[in-house]
Amino acid sequence: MLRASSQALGHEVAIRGAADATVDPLTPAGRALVAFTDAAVLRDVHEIDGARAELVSAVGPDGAARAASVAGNFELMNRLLDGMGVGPPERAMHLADELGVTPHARS
Amino acid sequence: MSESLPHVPGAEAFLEREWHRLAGPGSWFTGPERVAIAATTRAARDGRPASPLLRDEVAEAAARLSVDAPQIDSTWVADLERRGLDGFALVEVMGIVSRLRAVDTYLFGLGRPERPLPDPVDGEPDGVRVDGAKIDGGFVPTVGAAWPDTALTAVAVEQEAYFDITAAFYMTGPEMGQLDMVRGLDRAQIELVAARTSLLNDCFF
Repeated sequence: MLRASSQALGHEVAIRGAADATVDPLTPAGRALVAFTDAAVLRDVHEIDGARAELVSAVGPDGAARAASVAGNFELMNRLLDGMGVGPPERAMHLADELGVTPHARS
Repeated sequence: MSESLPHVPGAEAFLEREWHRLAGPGSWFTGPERVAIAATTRAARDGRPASPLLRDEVAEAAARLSVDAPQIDSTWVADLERRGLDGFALVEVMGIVSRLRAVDTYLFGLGRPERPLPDPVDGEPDGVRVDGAKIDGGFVPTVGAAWPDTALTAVAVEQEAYFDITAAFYMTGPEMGQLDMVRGLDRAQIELVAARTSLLNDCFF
């Protein structure tokens, strides 16, 4: 969905930036979004205030709040998928190389 | 702490409904048990012991879903069932745990305090097995093939709660196909946060 939505909006995107925080995802405010997501999901009390302030500067308070809600939503989705035992569809497996990750098999 | 962010539209109303749902009986657990599952979700996250109110297999399920979900496999789910945690009941645990983790991350991201768990409400679980729910490609029963939108379909109140939270926190079903939608962020920004969260959680769907 990241690639499809970026193409639809005419944004450049470096998919690997979603997996590797040292890579700029090229999405507008992408680095600030990744830093904020990391701080929120990892509950990093040392980083969250700075990451939030940086993101608000980039996308405004409503955008930053949406980032928090989307991170929350995927905390939900990830656990449902793991609990249900559904892995990535075969057609998406080629993205693993691009992301630089190794999906684990479900059994 | 810096100034907290405003709620996204619909989130405050969702939180009220969710706390009401959490406090009362579901299909397989009483209100006190549902709140204890929520307490165990947070306890596992914070490295504290599970609520003593829960049977061991329920506490284990809540803790693993909270902090170690990528390690769930069919052997573990079968072992839970052998010990007394039915697949339908596991679906209810999945719903409670996953929504609470969603809410807690959301509030932490906003810079708002953690919401205290509700006082439980008395009442008996309805014990309803949704018609047509069966194992269909996943570890737990679903109505239709196992897929993100069917994960909680075996327990009606949990499925209702799933659509409730996703509409507030992410987007509604009809919006899913709108790649040019803007909800505070544009769709590519939303999907970047989604992808990053999933990578942090070792979930590669």
